[in-house]
Amino acid sequence: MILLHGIALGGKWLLVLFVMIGIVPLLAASYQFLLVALHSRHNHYGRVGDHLPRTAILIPAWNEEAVIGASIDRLMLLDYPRDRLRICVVDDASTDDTPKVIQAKIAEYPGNVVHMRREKGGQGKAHTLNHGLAILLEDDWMEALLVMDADVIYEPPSLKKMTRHLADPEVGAVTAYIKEGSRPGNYMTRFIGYEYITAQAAARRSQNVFGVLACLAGGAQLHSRVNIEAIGGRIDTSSLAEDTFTTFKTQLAGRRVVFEPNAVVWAEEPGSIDSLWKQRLRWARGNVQVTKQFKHLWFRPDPGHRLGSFTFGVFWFCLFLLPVIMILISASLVALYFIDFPLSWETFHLLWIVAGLCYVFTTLFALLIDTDTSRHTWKEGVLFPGLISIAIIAYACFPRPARWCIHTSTDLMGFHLTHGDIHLAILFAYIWLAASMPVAWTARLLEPRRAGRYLSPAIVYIVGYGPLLCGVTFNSYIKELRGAAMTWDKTEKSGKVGMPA
Amino acid sequence: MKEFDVTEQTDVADEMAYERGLTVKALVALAVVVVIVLVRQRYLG
Repeated sequence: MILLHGIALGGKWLLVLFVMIGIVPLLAASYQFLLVALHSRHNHYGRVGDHLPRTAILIPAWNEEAVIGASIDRLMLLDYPRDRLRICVVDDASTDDTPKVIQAKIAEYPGNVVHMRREKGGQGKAHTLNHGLAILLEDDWMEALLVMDADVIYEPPSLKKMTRHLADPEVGAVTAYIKEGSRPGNYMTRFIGYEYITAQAAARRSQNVFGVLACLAGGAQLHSRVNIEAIGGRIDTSSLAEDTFTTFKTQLAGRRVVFEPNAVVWAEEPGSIDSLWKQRLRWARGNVQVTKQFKHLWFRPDPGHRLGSFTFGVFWFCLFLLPVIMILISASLVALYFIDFPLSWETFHLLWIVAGLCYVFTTLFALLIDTDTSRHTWKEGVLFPGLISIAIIAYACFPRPARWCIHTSTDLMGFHLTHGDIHLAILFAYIWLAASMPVAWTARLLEPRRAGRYLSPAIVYIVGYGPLLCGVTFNSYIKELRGAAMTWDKTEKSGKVGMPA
Repeated sequence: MKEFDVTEQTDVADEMAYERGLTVKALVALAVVVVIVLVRQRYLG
């Protein structure tokens, strides 16, 4: 009897522990933001120098007739010596007028533009890059390599701001701050604009402080030639996250990777849930592959790099496992509800109070980090976790005023909440973290329908952009477990990208 | 860290000033969180 009681008690506290695991990603995110505050002291600016290496800009292009010409024109406006710049477009067997556009640009900028044609394409970005890389490494002209996407726009000083870090031979690669630049934007591009403040301007600054970068932005990777040769002279083709592989390999080879927040690159990002889902599914599957490929690294500190440090492992797995953690929390809360309701209620409160405080700190600080972007994305920033989660946070943090609001509004509407209604609402709040992901998925299903035009954006605001991304990550687990084919779903681009005047 | 020669140090004064501004902004955001905690404890808990 005593043994059974002990098991029951242990099980109960185990459930509490499962719920409290949810605090770890919240604290990890807040800790990352706190590290940003130290970037003024721990950065690479003390070791930069005037350094203008001969730079080859490698652009993988497949059917990019809409954007490639303007991209080349803008690259020629870079504040960088023309004799030290070579734009190499790797045309991945395009079937549209991409080759014609490139030929016209070769005539317009003789000596600065190179056309590298692949007759057999469609194998993915890494294969395309390797085709160009092999040609570039044949002679010794290239001293640095900038890998970019065909549709992005580099602000004129950005390349110079990146190359100055390569003056330090310990630096192998530099990445820039990618900003969302779709014109005109919509609710989705505004969410992405805010997301990039958190995932780049904030997270990558903190990674600079911490001394390890998780990923070079695919559209803005500057490498020294020495680094490219040290990692084997080619890009990994075994995964969908070739940029993360390159980032890890650079650091494993003992070189630093630096984020330069003042090198700004504008990119056209997905304007619909469906195209966002496809893009992020590719990224998320790539991250699953990276996690498996580098399994010998995690939580194994090494004096040569910080990829194996405990803190970096926590950062990585908090994002990677977030959907699992959300399901675990909901399942544990529901189980606790039936075993010990008061304990479940207190545990739930504690989790959401911590969530509320972390939300206020990270959101407010993110909006202050890049005020130019937050001026038009602040609403999406505030609603990033979704209206329902914000309502739960408000209730957990301020129960008395929240109860007063609920009772007043129900009285005004002429009905009274019964004990059963209240408990149904509580159960709904308990399962919300897990349920938010499939609800976000319904926004994608509804999008192509007539009603979806209005319903899908409304669902994203109600459910939250964060849960939408968690839904994508969960989908990536399923795809990877099923061994689904690795298709390179190219994000549709209209060429309507711009930077502020 | 190994030392290396930089013939002409690039001017990074603007960047450094911006980064120092971020430190102040982080403190502002933290202060807001502290105020929320205090208000909750004192009046609304």
